[in-house]
Amino acid sequence: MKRRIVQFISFLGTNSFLASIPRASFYQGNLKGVCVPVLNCYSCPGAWGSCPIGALQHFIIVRQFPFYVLGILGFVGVFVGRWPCGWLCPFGFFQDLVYKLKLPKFSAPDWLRHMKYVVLVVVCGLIAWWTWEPWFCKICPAGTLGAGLPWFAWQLRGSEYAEGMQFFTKVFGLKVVTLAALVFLMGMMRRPFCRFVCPLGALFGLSNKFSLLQMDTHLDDCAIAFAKGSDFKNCASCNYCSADCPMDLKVPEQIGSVDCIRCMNCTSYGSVYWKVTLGQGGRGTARGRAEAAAARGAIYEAAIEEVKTAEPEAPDSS
Amino acid sequence: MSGLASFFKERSAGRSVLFFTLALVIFEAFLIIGIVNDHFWETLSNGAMICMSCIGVG
Repeated sequence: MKRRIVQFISFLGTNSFLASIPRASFYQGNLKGVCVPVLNCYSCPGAWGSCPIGALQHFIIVRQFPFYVLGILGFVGVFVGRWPCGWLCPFGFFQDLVYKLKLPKFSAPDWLRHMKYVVLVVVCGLIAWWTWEPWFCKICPAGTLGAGLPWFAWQLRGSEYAEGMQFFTKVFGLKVVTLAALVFLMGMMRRPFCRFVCPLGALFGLSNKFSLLQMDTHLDDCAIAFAKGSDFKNCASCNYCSADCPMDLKVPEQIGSVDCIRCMNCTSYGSVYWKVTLGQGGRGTARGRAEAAAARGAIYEAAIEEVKTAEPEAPDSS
Repeated sequence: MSGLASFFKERSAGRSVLFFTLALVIFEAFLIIGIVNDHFWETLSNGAMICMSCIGVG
């Protein structure tokens, strides 16, 4: 719940230039030079900042090394890794909400995670270089949702219907179809865009390996393992923490993964901590320990109650 | 030599400190180089790179 509030505030914050909305225009001041560390199109009606992937392609097209974009992403990344994906990204927030729809749930093959690196290198890099066009922007579903659809609505509002429909270009049609397909997928699997497509997540994920904010496990503190009578040293493989992971990670094994978005969902089960430290060792921060201990207290009771009545059924990880 | 090899192979606090410091210095340098670049002030900072055809409208 706390994360939802932060995500909502971040969505409002990155789209807070409301003065442009009644004028059907967008902000073009100096703040537009600031790349926000999330996927928020610079053409969104309320956006005051730029999308880093749009800016990255821009630099590639003008044949300049993207010092600024890599610098701003790297600077955020060395401190918090992929945390902005879990807590700040408006499109991630949208995906989290769509997944709550009552639709059949599926999991996707794990190898699809590598596709986002192909998107980053081929679509945002090579194709932008060869065609002199930001092709990722042309198909970006986050741009369609946040910028394309509001702009199209404005065109329709200010003109006759037939006149407005001339703005429904082939590129726009392609974007709408891509977004529709993705929204359908979002309802059935967790964050498909973040896991398989997002080039920003691909870039940010690399910083998970050396960022100051790290996740760590202490399986001997796992509330579920305790409730199931485990020896406190081994994972009970109940999948409770994995089933709660929006990136579909197998949490105990993939704790330091480049795909971890630091959402902190897994910290509710007692065995996973966040820590602000370098290297291994230590038990995380006092706050991390306190949060895990508090969560452990609640979960112990729930899990013990569950064990008393029946052997807890492992949630379906799919 | 074996000490140096194990420093890079094993995940240690020393290695993490080294990587973190290196990454911080490199990315800060990138950021500064990017901001002092003329191109940044001519295009990015005044929104001149916004293109409506990229969002497919118009």
